Order: sequence, then C-alpha cells, then structure tokens
Amino acid sequence: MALAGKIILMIWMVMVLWGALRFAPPANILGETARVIYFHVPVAWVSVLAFCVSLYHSVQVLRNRNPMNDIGAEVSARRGLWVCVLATVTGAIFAKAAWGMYWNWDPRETSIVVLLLIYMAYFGLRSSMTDPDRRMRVSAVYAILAFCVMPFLVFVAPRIYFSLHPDTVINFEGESKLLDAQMKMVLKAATLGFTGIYIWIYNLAVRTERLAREREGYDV
Amino acid sequence: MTTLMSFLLKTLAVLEKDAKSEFRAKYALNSILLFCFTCVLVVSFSLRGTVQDTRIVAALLWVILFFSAMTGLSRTFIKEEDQGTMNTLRLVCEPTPLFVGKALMNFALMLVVIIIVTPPFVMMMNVDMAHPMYFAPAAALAALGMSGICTLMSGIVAGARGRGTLYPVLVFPVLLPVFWVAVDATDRALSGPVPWQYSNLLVFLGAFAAASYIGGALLFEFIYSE
Repeated sequence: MALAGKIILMIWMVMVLWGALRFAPPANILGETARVIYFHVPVAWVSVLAFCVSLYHSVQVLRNRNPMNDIGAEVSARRGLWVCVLATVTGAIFAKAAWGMYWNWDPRETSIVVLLLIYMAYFGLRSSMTDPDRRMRVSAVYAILAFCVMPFLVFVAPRIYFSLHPDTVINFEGESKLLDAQMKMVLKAATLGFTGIYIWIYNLAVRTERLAREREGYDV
Repeated sequence: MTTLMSFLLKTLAVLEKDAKSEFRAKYALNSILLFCFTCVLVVSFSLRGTVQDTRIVAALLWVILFFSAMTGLSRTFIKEEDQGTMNTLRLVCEPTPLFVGKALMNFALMLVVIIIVTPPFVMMMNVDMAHPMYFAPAAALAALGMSGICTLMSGIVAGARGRGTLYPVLVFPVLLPVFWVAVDATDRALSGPVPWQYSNLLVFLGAFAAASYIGGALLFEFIYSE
C-alpha cells in the first residue's frame, strides 16, 4: 500500500514537472520565467502547512504533555523551515524576473523572513534546554506565541502598506483573473504533489526521530 | 467579582514588589538609561548632524530602544531564578497576575526610558518633533506591546543555557511587527504632514499590545508551572 502510494507520487511529480515545464503555456508578459510559480506557490503553501501541523502539535503538547506531539512539532517545524528557505529562494528568483530586484522588503517578503527567524530561534531555544519536559513546554509556548504574531505580518501589514504581491496567495478563485485554465490545473497538481511529498517526509522523519529518542533512553 | 478583585490585588502586589525593589536597587532603570545615553551619544557623534532624513532618525531611535529593552527587561524572571525567589512566587501568586504585574512594571520602565531618552535624541539629531501628540500614543502602545512580549520571553529563557544571547534572538522576530510600525509612526510624527490620517498605525500597535498581553497571560501558565 505504502509502496503503491510512493509510486503514484513519483509518477504524479513527473507529470507535474512536465506540466510546469512543457504543458502550461508561457505567461503573457513574463514568458518562460513565470514557470517558477509552479514551484514557488506550492512550496510556500507546504511551509505554511508544516508550520500549522507544528502549531497543532505544540497545542497538544500543552494539553497532554505527550512526547510524541513534541516529536511531531519539532519534525514538522524543521521540514517547514527548509521548505520556507526554498520558498524564499524561488520567490527571490521570481521577484528578479518580475520586478527587477531579488529583494525589496515587500510586506510578504518581510513576513517570510520573520517566519525564518522565528523558527531558527525556535531551534536555538530547543537546543539550549537540557530538561526534556521543560524543553517540550517552553518550545511549544514559543511556537504558539510566534504563530499568534504571524497574522499581523501576513494579513494586517500588507493591508496597511503597499505590496507588490498579488492579494491572493493561496486562493485559486482569485487567481482566475491572473492565470488561464491550463496554468491553474498545473498549479493545483503541483500543490497536491508537494503536499504528498511533505506528508511522506514527515512520516519518515517522525519515525526516525522516535527511534533516535528511544535509543537515547527517552520515554516516548 | 471576588475573582477579579483578587486578580487586581495580586497584580498590584507584584507591581508594588517590583517597583520597590527597582526603586531600591535601580538595576534595570540604570542599565537601560546608561545604555540608551551611550547609544545616543555614539550615534550622534558618528553622524554629526549629517542625517536629516527623518526615516533614518526614527529607525535609529527604535533600534536604541529595542536593544535597551533587551538589556533591562531580559532579567525580569532571571532575577527571580538567580535570587531563588521564584518558588516563593509560585507559592503565593497565580501565573496570570504575576505575568500582568511584571509586564506592567516593564511597561512603566520602557515608558520612563522613552520619556527621558527621546527629547535629547531628537535634539542631538537636529530634527524637530513636528507632532508630539501623535508620537506619544504610538510610543506608549509600542512600549505596551514590547513589555508583554519581553516579559513572556524572559520567563521562557529563565531556565535556558546561554540566555543572554538567546533572548534578543527570540524576541526580535516576534517584536518585528511593532518595530516596523513604530518606526513608521515615529517617522510620520517627525515629518508627516497630517499624521492623524495614519491612525491605522496606532490601531495596529494597540491590537498588537492587546494580543501580546492576552497571549502572554494565557501561555505564561505553561512555563510557570514545574
């Protein structure tokens, strides 16, 4: 069953690659460079998803103090951080093509940098604590507080300040004005494919982390 | 009603305890003020009146205030841990009044620092505060938001290794929205034609302050219990 899932995911991603590079038509003004959005939008979505999963586990840690939730929170935040780096890099490439600069402190660019800083600080905090119970609680508190700040950056700040980004980040209805049917299809398929890869990696990482903690003598 | 009264009394008791101990030792206030004045002098000396751009002046003011908060406010709970009084506090006070009392004390400290440091900074940078009545609520609301976050973070790092360096690393990303909007509001107060049309910046700072106190009060319980 698991093997079939992996094979389907692999075929799906090959199709996504073909769709992004060949099937989807070039964009009106940006031409071929616009193809980076088939990677940028899905990885940005996956990073948000990973941080939401980490938040869910952090809340659960405070509710029941289960070490498995701590593993879930840490593993998802770590994968989210790497995907967030990918979203930043692909975003910078697209920004160079679209606006002529890799970086210009657009409100959404600012928010992704803050997200990177928050989760780097989160791992700094985790590594500074030796007592596993305190580490679990304190890092969950920090993750929840940091997540509470995100709406100010993601939703409020772009409405106070001018943003170069389109208003619809993960809103396919709104994007219908910007993308044609083939482009939307590829974008949806890529988002689904990258979500599948995240779920696969997340499951693997949780199992590996659990084994590592058991070997170190922690009660998991 | 009784619960509310008890909450208020305990919050005031924590505030009074901290105010008395601060009044005796003046540790936090002295360290923050000395740090601020040194920074103001260093900035003013290195620029020597060459900077007239109000945006840069506003940014420098908030960089100084941010790092001064890092030096003074980080010790809120570390002080209790070092003196061995944390367990006594746990016995006599619930987490929420303790958090609010400590945060209000930090708010008062930040307010004093802003009131003392801003006039000489503005004078030494050779700019005019065109709209002080717009700057005052903006700075007060920013200080309120900063005090809530800094107090909670102090509780977070109290049991960590290398807390001196970890504290600003943890605080900065969370305080960035306040920093961003406070710099902008200060810029408007220094130069802007009609700053009251930018009252949405004040609403933003007020909402952030409310979120920092509510979030902090709810979350503090989990780091306070052993």
